[in-house]
Amino acid sequence: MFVARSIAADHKDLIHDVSYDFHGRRMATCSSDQSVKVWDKSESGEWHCTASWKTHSGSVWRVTWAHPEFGQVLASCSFDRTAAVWEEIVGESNDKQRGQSHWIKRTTLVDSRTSVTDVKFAPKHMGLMLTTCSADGVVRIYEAPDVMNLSQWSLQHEISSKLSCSCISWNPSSSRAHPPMIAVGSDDSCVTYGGKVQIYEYNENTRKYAKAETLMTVTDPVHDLAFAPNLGRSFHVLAVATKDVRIFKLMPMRKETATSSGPTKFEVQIMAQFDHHNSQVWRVSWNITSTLLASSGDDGCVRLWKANYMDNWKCTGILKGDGSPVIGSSGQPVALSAAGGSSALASQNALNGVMAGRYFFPPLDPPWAGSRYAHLLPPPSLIEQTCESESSRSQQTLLRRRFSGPALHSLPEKEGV
Amino acid sequence: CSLGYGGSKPDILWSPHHVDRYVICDSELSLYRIESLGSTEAKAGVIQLSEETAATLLAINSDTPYMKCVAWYPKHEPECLLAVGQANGRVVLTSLGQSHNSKCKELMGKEFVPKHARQCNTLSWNPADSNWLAAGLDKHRADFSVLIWDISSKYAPEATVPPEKIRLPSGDADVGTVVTKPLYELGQNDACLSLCWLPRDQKLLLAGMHRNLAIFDLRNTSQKMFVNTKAIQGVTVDPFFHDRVASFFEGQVAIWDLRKFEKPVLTLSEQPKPLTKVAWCPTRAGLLATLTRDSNVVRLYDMQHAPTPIGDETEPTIIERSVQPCESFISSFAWHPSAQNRMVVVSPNRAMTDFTVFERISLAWSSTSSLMWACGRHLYDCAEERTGSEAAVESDIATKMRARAQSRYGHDTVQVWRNYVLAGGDDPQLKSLWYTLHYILPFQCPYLTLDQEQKQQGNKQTVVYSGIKNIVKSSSGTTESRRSWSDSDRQGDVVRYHSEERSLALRLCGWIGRGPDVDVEPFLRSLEQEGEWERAAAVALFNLDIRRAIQILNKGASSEKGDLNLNVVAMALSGHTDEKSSLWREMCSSLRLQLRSPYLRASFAFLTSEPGAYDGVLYESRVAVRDRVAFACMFLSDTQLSRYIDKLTNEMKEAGNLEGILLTGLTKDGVDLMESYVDRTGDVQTASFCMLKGSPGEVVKDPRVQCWIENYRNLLDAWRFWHKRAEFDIHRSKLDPSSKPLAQARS
Repeated sequence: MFVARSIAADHKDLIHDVSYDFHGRRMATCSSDQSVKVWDKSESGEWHCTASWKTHSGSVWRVTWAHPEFGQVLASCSFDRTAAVWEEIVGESNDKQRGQSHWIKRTTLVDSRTSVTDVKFAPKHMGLMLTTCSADGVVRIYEAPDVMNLSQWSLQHEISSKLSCSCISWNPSSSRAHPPMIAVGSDDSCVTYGGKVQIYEYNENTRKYAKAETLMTVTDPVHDLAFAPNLGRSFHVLAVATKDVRIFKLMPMRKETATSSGPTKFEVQIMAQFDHHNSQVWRVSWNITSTLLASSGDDGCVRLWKANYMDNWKCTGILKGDGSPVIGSSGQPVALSAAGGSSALASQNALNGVMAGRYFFPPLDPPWAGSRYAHLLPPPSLIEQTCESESSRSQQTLLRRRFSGPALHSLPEKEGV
Repeated sequence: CSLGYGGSKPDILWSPHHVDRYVICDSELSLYRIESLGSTEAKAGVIQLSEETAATLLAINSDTPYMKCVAWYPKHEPECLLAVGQANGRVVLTSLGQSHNSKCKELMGKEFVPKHARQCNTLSWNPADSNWLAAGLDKHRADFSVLIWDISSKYAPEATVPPEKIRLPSGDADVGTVVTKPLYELGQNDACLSLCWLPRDQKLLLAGMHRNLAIFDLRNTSQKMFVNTKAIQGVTVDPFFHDRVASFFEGQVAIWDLRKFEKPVLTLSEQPKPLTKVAWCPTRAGLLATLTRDSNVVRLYDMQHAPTPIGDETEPTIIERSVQPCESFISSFAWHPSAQNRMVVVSPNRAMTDFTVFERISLAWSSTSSLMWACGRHLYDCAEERTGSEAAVESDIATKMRARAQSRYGHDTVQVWRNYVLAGGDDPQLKSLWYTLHYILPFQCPYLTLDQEQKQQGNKQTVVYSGIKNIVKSSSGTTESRRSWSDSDRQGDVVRYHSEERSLALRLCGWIGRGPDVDVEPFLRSLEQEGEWERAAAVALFNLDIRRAIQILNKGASSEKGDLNLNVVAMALSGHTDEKSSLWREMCSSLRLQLRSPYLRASFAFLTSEPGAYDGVLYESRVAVRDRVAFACMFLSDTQLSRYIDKLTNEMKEAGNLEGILLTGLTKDGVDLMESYVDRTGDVQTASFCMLKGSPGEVVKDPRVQCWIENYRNLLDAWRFWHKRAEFDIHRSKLDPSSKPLAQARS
């Protein structure tokens, strides 16, 4: 069972992203307060903020770690239309003694003309590469040719997705059978623009990224997407946060000839589609073996999903955003658990009064004494927006397919020798 | 508020100073106090608003009929003073509950009457000078539509004006007083639908007029600033940005910057239904909530913006969300004045819901299986905690692999089967896999156990290593013997097949030991030891030893946790007869399906089967693959056997069932099987260790295998298991000398 504990984050505004490093021992958070904080886990498992600094002149949307092989490196992106690369400086300064670390800006990427909505490092085996996407629909791939020099980044690729981009995800597969691949999500709300998830693949011959697939069934705004850690599987799994949680399976079709140069064709299957959040789904995240998916939605809940051996995905747990249990329709708390089928068990426990979980109810914040924007200019010369009709919402007759796994032959479960 | 209450659609207003009080207005005014559930338990008249909160009705005021709008007096005292705008344009001051405040008593019942009767649409108290109350009225010819009343005015505010006070016929002892002379009259020849005072200057009043938004400056009432627009309803100032104003028309919200008043800075996406309420969140900057008619969702617009160089045009980012506080339609809502993101909504039938809008949650998994999420300004670290009751519940493969890596899973190269124990000893597929590898190993690596038999079998090495499927394929010189139940001497009609390959297969299945001995007895004894009574009995039966089977069952019944039913089974067995048409056969074939144990089902299937037709055993899917394969090797003819093994192999491959490694061995077939196992489970650890056993063979060079190994090493890195990774590399280079000594794979 999962138990939530609150950490005093001390951000002065909404936290937009939280990101672990490769080992899960460090964490970075970013916020509308324009700062990034770095947290280190002590031996006892407590998190301590070891650095906090102003990174941008606008809300910081995302923060992400490079593979530790490249050093202690972070990238952030912001509404201020820039992305930045930060490096921790190991020095013998007093900071170390105070348990503080020092981060300096190595570069600012200023190519975007609009808010930079996501930033991600490419998988390690591709070298030190950084990708950004922005509200104007451009995905940019930068490379640091010299990994020792983080202040030099060259813009290698610019992919125009034609739709306002909200999120990107690299396919983490390091298999040689899988060319570099990136999925791009759009939060454009116009359903008539079609698929909101585009998948681009690198072509060795043309040395360019080409669109390999558009997930045409995703027509609503996409807020987040995440390729599952591939872990040597023969297919790719992509989770999409849109008006529901969706899990897609992308099976590369075997190329007929070794020389065929076109992008890989995929057989796209929808493995699961869940509207349990009953509202927009905001984020999705895979665990390291891609056997557990966590999602958050506008219902203020965090849900855990797990597939059984038949590839049937089920919700195995749910907690409210403040870490408290959700009272199910039966009036019993439903526990957050990674193990399938245990929620019933846990709620039974609750009935018996031996619920082991500790739940934290955060205090309500005091009212804002003043505005942090008081010193800022209000929105500058704002542009009148042409309004897209939202009436199309009712027109959507999206297929609500509940996926159920292919029936397998029942197999022996018990075995002995 | 510009809602008419005639239709008795309730509206809701929070007390400006008492954070636990609000008023519901429809045809009357009802004052509620909200409190946490714990403190109001089991009290009568308590209405539950949420899981945590409930409301108590404190007072009802039905003195003021024809209410069109209500505004709460903004000062702390008198606390429950309300201004009510009526359908005839009058504004009445009224109160909820008893107030001992003398000022309140003085003001109660005071009326402010316009010259011409028409509907009062909106009221707004001046936040600085709380004596000033602005009222917006419908149009009446050329009359003024915005009247600013001074509630402290006496009946005759100016001596020059003849006293126009009219005593209303009233039964009340409190005689209402009537004021007819407003302090200011504005908006001549126009209608006013919404009003609000501008916080930046107490003399400025923003009004939604018939076809324009106007800013009146009370210092110079002859002039006004205005902009023509249809969006004139519900004007409201952002409490965090005093120059930002929202207003609406039908389904569309316009956002204005008062310093560039010529056009809206932004319009929000249009809703199909007309809006009924638009309100800025008082606890968070730039958060606007809107409500449309006949809807159960509140839409939220989170306006993000960044300072940019002057003159540089950017579009603010708006994050649009909708929240659903309750199932029913929402008549109105009100933000809590101080609790973060909290609101109470009221439905047309006055059902109330206390609701907090959650911030969007971002989340991330760590490599060590803890989940961190951020909600609002808080962080939550969520880790798996094992509790006693959950010990039986299967944990995630990531957790398992981590634990197995720490228990040196995969590293036992001598007692290979023990790796199953190192893996936790609870996974039947892993048990099958490691026992299979254990049986294969001596054939494969003669240097490990150099006994005589090994040398003889040396040439069989590659065959064994390629699994039973290939072994039976290469089978030649099969002989058959007609066997009968060992308790009868006559030659029976059970045909049993023999060949060297079949014996080898039985060895790999674990039924018979190594060496020339083909006795199944040691195997039976080990099964007995493990208490696998049904299985042992079945194996004995398959070896046509019915007495031994009965003996095993008796032993099982009398054993410590013995099941007495086993004696019943033994009894049934002892009645066995070869007679084709016996009652025994008839009953056994029909009743055997009701047996819970798959082995007992298979046993009776065997006893009642026609010669050569053993589907009841072969396709009893809960009987272990190795037992079914051993059975097949004994009783199926060459063609039948080969067909059965092929079929089973494909089934195992498709399902990624590790029991099938017995059939495929460590061949390309085996890699295919392992691929679907990895696809299904993500268990690259088992895949890596298993395939490394295939060294030095082609199988390790399969790019898939290399990919699993690399992924496993990467996991060990992510978990900071540096020593484990080093051990794995050593293990790997021992088994696969061709593997490059890669200090940092692909890095």
